[in-house]
Parts: sequence; C-alpha cells; structure tokens
Amino acid sequence: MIEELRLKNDFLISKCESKADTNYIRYGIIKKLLSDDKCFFKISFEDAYNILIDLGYSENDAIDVYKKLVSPEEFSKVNEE
Amino acid sequence: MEDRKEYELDLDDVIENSLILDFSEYVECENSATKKYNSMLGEKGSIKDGFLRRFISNQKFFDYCLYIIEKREKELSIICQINGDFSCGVQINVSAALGLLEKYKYLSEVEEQRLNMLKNKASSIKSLLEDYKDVEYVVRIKEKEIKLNAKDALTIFFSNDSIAEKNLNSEYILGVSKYEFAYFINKLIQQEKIFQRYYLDEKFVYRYNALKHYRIVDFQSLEVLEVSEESIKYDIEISQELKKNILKGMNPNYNKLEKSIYIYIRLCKTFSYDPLFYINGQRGKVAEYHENIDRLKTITGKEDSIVCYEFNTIYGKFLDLIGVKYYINVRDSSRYGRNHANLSYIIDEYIVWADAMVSIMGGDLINAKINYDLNGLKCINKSKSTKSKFNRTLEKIYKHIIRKESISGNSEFEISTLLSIYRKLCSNKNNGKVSFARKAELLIEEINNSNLKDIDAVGYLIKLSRNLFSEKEFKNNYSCVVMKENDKPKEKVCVIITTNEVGFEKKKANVYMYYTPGSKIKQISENELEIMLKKKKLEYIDKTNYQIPGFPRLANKRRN
Repeated sequence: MIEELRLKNDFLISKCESKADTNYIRYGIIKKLLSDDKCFFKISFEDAYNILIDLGYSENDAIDVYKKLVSPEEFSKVNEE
Repeated sequence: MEDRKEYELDLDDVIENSLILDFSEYVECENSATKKYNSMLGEKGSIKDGFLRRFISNQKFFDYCLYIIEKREKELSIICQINGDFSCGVQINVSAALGLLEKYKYLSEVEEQRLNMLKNKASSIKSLLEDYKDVEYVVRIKEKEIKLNAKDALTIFFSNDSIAEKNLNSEYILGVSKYEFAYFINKLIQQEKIFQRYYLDEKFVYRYNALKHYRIVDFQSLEVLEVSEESIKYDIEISQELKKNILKGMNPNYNKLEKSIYIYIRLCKTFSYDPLFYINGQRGKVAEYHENIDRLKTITGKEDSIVCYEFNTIYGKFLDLIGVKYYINVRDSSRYGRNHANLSYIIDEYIVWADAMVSIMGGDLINAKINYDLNGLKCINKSKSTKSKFNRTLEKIYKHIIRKESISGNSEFEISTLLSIYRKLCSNKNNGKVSFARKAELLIEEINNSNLKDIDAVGYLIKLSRNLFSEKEFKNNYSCVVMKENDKPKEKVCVIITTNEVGFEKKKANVYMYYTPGSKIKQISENELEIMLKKKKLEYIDKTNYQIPGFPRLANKRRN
C-alpha cells in the first residue's frame, strides 16, 4: 500500500515547476515521511488524513486507505523477524 | 601527667600557627563589615573586613599570613586572648582571603606590595611542584592501584593551555589511560586540597572545574564502579536456543557497547510482557510462577511472556556473556522477583541504565516492536558529549536492526520536525476533519480485524486510539481502560472502551464497549457493566488509576 503512495507522491513532485514551489517542499516532506514503512503508526490520524488528501485521495478513499495502512497485518509485520 | 603533656603540645601548636590578638583589637576586627565570597570552586563564606584588610595594612598580620602561606597551610587562625586565656577565634581560608583582597579598589603602595608578595608566594606553581617532587601518590580504582609521581602528574595538569590540552587528550598519560589519569589527578587535587592551599591562577580553577565535571575527560564511570562492587547478580543458565535467537545477525565486529545495545533491542523485539501478571496486579499464582528463577532456562524466545525482573536477569546474563559488568537496581534485593527492577552497566566511559518496562504499554517491549524511539536504554553520564556519543551509537545499532528487518525508519524526532513543517505548508483545508463517530467506527473495524494476541493486541488498540483521537477527544469523548476479567477458572485481560459524542458530562450518552484479545468489540449496556463490576467479574488493575467514565474510582481519571 505504501508503495502506491510513494509513486503518487513522486508523480506529484515531478509536476512541480520549481524547487522553490511550496508544493515541492511539501511533497518532499511527504516523501521523507513515506520512506519509513511504519510512518503511519507514528503520526496522528489528522496528519495522515491530510497527507492522503494531499496525495489526491477523496475524503472517503482517504479513510479506507488509512485503514489499510494501520491494519493489524501491518502492525504484525513489525513483530516478524 | 600524660594528659597535661598532650595539652601542652596542642597549646604549642596553637601558639605557633595562630595569630594572637588582645581583646580590644580582636573585637574591633570582629565588629567590622562582612565581606562575602563565593569561590569558583563553589565554596561560600565570609570574612570580617577588619581581619582581611590588616593582612596587607598591618605588619604583624602580614608576617603571620606570609608565614602560613610559606608553610602551605590552608587556614589562617586568629585567636583572642583575655587575661592570658584564649577565649575565641576565627579561621580564615587563605585562598578566599587573597581572592577578596584582590577586589579592594584603593590600596596604598605598601598594601599593594604586600598583596603582590602574598600572591606570589601563594600562587607559585613552582612551589607547588617543589612540594610534591618526591611524592609517589597512590590512588585506588577498584582492584587497581595507580601510583604516579605527584609532581609529574601535577606538571601535566598545571601546564600551559596548549600543552595541557594536548597531554590531557592523549590516550595514555604517564603510562595510564586518560580516564585513569583524570580520575587520579582529580583525587590528588581533592584530597590534597591544592586549591585551598595554593592560590592558583583563575585559568587553573576553570580547568579543574572542567575536569571534575567530566568536561575534559569523562571518567565518571570509574567513580560509579567504586560503589558497584556489592551489586546483586543472579547466576542463571539460559537455553542455547535463546542465545541463538537473540544473537542472530549480530555483527561480530561490534564493540562491547554496540553488542550490549544490539542484545537489548533484540530482547525487546523478542519478548512480550505477561498479561496475566499485569492484570493480577503482579500478585498471586502468576507472580509465584515468575518468581521461580529456574524457569528462565526453559525460555527460548518464542512466544515467551516475561516480566521486568526476568528481563533484567536474562539481559544481565547476556551482558555477562559479552564480558560487561552490570548491577541490578532493585528496592528490596532480599528476594528475587519482589519488586520492579532495572539494571545499569558500565562499558568504558559509558554508564548505561536499562529498563525495558518503564511502563507496560509505553515501554520498550512495545516500542522496539513498532520501531519507535526507545525510552528504556539511556546513558546516564553527566557529560553531554558522552550522552550524545551513546545516543549516536544507539541510533546506529537500532537502524542496523531495522534495516535487517527490511524496514527503514525515521526517528520520532525527525517525524515530529517534518510534520511541524508539513502542517505549516499544508494546503488542504480539510485539516483532518473527520467526525468523532467516523473515527470511532474506524477503530472498531480495525480492532475487529485484528488477530494479535494478549498484550500486543491491547497495545495495538491503545496505539491506534492515540493516533486517531486528539487530546481533547481523550478528555471528553473517548476512553479505553485495560482491565482484568475473572472468567473462572481463567483470568484474562480485557478493555472497556467508552465513547460519547457529546462529552462525558452527559453520562446518558455514554456508549460502553467490551473487548478482549481474540474476539470482537461488542457493545454492552451500562447495567451489564455495573453488574460485572459489582460481581467482580471485571476488576480494575491494581497500580493503575484509570477509570471508566461514569464509574468513579477513588483515584483521578487518567488517559490510558
């Protein structure tokens, strides 16, 4: 799931016209946050939701995507060797 | 006769080393203004101006002061004589007196000359070194005896800035490590009261302050080692399987500190806290089970539930295996397993404190599993530089482990910094506006899909709750309380979730839900909950003071 977000974010970065663009900086921060596989376990729902909306998800989809990102399966992954 | 002899000897000594004044002069000095001092070494005190000024204005006082300084005594002793008897007296510290005399603004030519002469006599590094030229000074660091020529050691410490800096930063000084040398010179200066007996340049006071606060070389671990000899240790066996599990993937080139950190994190990732021990308030049969130290040899690291003192004992055993000295910190050491325990260990200059269970839900047994910043492994040296070196090593090892698990991670600090910038730049107006009801729904859906077990499942619920709900919602609309369920013959951990869209002050709108790991969240009525509590089917866990909204408990409500 997080891979899909990374791709979307990279696409949005490529669309920015200049490096001084606020969007460029914002997507850069999102890129850095997404580099951590477990980032959605480390940030609040509000921040996660805003990031998902920023990445172009609709309000309803954002919640569904969030659910997948913090699912028990994801939580369990960190317990695995 | 002998008593009398002793008295006479003392009296001679007093007369030889004191300045004796008649009553009127003594009283005149005593009634003068008070000069306070606060030395750079942190010593505070005061001297009467009448005595002080006389050391440079009065020949008799000056001669006496010079005599005391030449004798390398640290105190001036002034005694009042009435009708041939000594009635009272004062002791004045030589260095403090010289420090205060220097502050006088208007001095006569004679006074200035005398002050310079006193300072020269007192401050001569040459005379300090001369006094110690043949002294072989011995300092013990645990079983090791360090014997150095005091003059050589003092020469190094009291040399010019550039030379001292170069020498004190060498790995070995006079044949001992720089840590041992720093320990030695600190003890020598302290025990011999060098700064009290010799009036030394301010720069040396600064240097000494830097030394004793571990800013030049951090030798604090040598001091701690002194008090740790009587520490408690448990000689236990651990299984080969556990050793293999924990040490798996450890880089053989790691140094001792890195190994100790690696083992700590691996233990935290491997073990879970025993939920039964938690829900039973750390008492009863489950406590007896854990108090059996022999059971530790059966632990393999696969689905083992442990408690704090077991973690310590196992970690201690691993530290032993890599040759690290440690000591267990426990309030009552008379019996294994009686109290919460953590441990400390020393590697080179690092003094490390380890407690994987700072709290059950927020400790490192959970943090390490979700790659959060650890809060139970800390460098407790006073030196900031040592602390930051340790933190860098901890971060490095943690990242190695995370990378091995194919999970890259940002530290919590990085994340909070990134988020604070992100929020400022945030363009969308949604601002995370999702209704409380929708968030509660989301939580229930996620938990119901969970297959996690025991404390891990509860930890997940709490983690998700903290991510989903704001502080304000935790205060007014959402609560989850971990409880003990007496489902005879078994006991288990469960959680009572309370939601209220309008706020907890409207008790009638409270919605109660019950969750136990392995099952789904189900709604229960207030009445059902009340009966369960009354019949003690549900019990609050001792040592916590959380409460279910609408069901007051003696202690204050706290966020879970």
